[in-house]
Amino acid sequence: MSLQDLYRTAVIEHNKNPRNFLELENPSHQSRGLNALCGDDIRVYLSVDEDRIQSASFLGQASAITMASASMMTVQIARLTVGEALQTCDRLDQLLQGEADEALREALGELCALEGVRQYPSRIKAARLPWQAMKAALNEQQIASTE
Amino acid sequence: MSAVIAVENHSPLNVEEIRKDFPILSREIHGKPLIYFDNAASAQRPSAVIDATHDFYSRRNANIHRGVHTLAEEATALYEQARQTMARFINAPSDRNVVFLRGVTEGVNLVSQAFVRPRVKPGDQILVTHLEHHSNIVPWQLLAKQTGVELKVVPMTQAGELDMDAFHGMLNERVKLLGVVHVSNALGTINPVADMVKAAREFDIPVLVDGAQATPHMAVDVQAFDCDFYCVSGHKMYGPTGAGILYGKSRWLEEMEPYHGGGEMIKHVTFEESVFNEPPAKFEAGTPNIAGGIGLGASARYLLDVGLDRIREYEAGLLAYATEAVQQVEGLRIIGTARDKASVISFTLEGIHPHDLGTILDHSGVAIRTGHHCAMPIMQFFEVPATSRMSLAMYNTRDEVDQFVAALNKARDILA
Repeated sequence: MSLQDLYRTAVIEHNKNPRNFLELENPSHQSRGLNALCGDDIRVYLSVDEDRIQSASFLGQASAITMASASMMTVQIARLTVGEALQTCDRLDQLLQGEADEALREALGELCALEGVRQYPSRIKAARLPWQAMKAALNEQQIASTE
Repeated sequence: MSAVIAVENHSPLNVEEIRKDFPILSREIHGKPLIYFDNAASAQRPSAVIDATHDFYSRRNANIHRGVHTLAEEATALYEQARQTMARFINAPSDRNVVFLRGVTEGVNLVSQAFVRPRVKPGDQILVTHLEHHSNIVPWQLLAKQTGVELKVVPMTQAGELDMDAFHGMLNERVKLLGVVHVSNALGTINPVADMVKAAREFDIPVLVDGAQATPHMAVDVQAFDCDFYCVSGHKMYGPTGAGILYGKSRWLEEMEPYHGGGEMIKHVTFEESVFNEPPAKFEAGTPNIAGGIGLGASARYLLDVGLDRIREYEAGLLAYATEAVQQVEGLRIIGTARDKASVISFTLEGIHPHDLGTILDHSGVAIRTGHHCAMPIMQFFEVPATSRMSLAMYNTRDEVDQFVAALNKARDILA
C-alpha cells in the first residue's frame, strides 16, 4: 500500500479546497462529528425541505481524509432525498469494507477516491466521521463520536 | 588545541553500542530502517530486560513470598532484589519505601484514595498544574466528587513553563496535596520540583511527583527533592509495561490504610478482622506482576550502568540539535519552548493535520505520536486540537533527526 493510494489526487484537492466549507444560514439540521483521539472535530449543516436535502455544508479541523470525505459528501448529497443520502452512506461503508462491485463504484463516483483508507484501520473512522455526523444531524443528535 | 577539540567532539555515550542492546532497532518499517521517536509513549526494551523476564519464566517461575521450595525462594529473591535496585535508582532511604504496582496511574490513584481521602473535608484543596497528564488529573476529580475537595490548577505561560508567582500565591493551609509532573509528556518541560516541595513545606503540604517522563532521562533523588511520593512507570524507562513503583515516605506508608485488600497484604485473617502487613506489602494485595518487577529492576540496572548523567548530557545535545533542525521546516511551530526541557518536541505543521503527518512519516519508517498525548488541557491552552510529538531517547541519533526532517519536508510536498 503506497502513500499515493491513500492520498489520491482527489483527496488532496478536496483537502486543500474544501467545498461548502461554511455554516448554512438557517440549517434545519446540524451535528458535530468528533474523534477526540485523532483531533478530528467537524460540524455538519443540512437544509432539508420536504424530505430532500437542499444543501449541505461543514466546518472544522480534521485530517485530510476527514476533510476530503466531508467535502465530497456535501457535494454528493445535495438534492438527494434523505433516503438516498443514507443509501450513499451505506454504499461508502461497503466500499471501505472492500465489498464494492462495479455498479457500486459507479454510484459512488468521486467518493471512490477514499478507498485507499481500507488498509489503515485507524483512518477508516476518519473517512466515516462526516457521514456519521450527517446521520446524527438527521436524527436530531447533537454529536457523533467515533470512539 | 587539538586535544580541546577532541574533548568537545567526544560523545558522552557510545550510542552505536547502546543501539546493539535494543533488538527492535534493527527492524524495518515499510522497507525503511525504524526511526523510533515515540519514546515518551513507551520506550523500547534492551536485551537485558527481555532476557531477565525470559530467564524468570523459563528457569525460576513460581509465586513469591509463599512456599519453601527452591523456585519460590529464587523468585522471591529476584523480586526483592529488583525492589532494592529500584530503591537505589531513585535514592530511596530503604527498599521498604518502594511499593510495586502497575505504574504512575495506579500510584496516583493509591495516594488519592489511601492517603488523601481520609485526610480531607469539603472545601479543602488539591493543587495540580496545567502540565499534568490525565493520570494526575482524573484521580483527583474522582476524589473531588467523593469528598467535596476542590481541584486547583497552577497556570502555565505561553512557553509551557509553570507560572511560579501564581504557584506561590496558591499555597495555603487548605491545600492537602500538591501533585506535580516532573517532566511534561506533552511539552518536555522540566518542572522545578525541589523548589516547589520547599515552598509547599511552609504550609505542610505533602507533595506527589509524577516521574513517568523523568526516570529515562535523568538521575532522580527523592531524598534531595524531599517529596512525599514519587511515581514511576516501568515502560517509559525501557522496562516492561504494567510494572512500576510508588515511592512513599515511611511515616506516610505506615500511617496509610491499605488500598486493595487480599492476599499478601495481611499478617493474619479471621472472618471477624484482619491484621495488615507492614509496608510495602500492605499495598501489594494479590500476586503481583513478578516478571514485570524483575524486568523493571533490570531496566534500572541497565540505566545505572550506562550512567544517567551521561544520558542527560547526550540527550540535551541531541534535543538542541533536533530543535534547531526542525525549525528549518517551513510552517513548523514548536509548542512548548521552556528553558529547561527533556526529550520532547511537540509541534504543528501548517496545512497538515497531525494524523496525516503520522501516517506519512510511518511510510518513511518514522514512529511519532500524534494526538492529544493524554493531556487535553494543554491542547486547549494552546488552542490546537492535537500536535505531533517527537520524543527522543538515548539510542536516537543526529542522523535519524536528519532523516526525520527530510520526511517532514516530504509530507509538505504531498499535502501542504
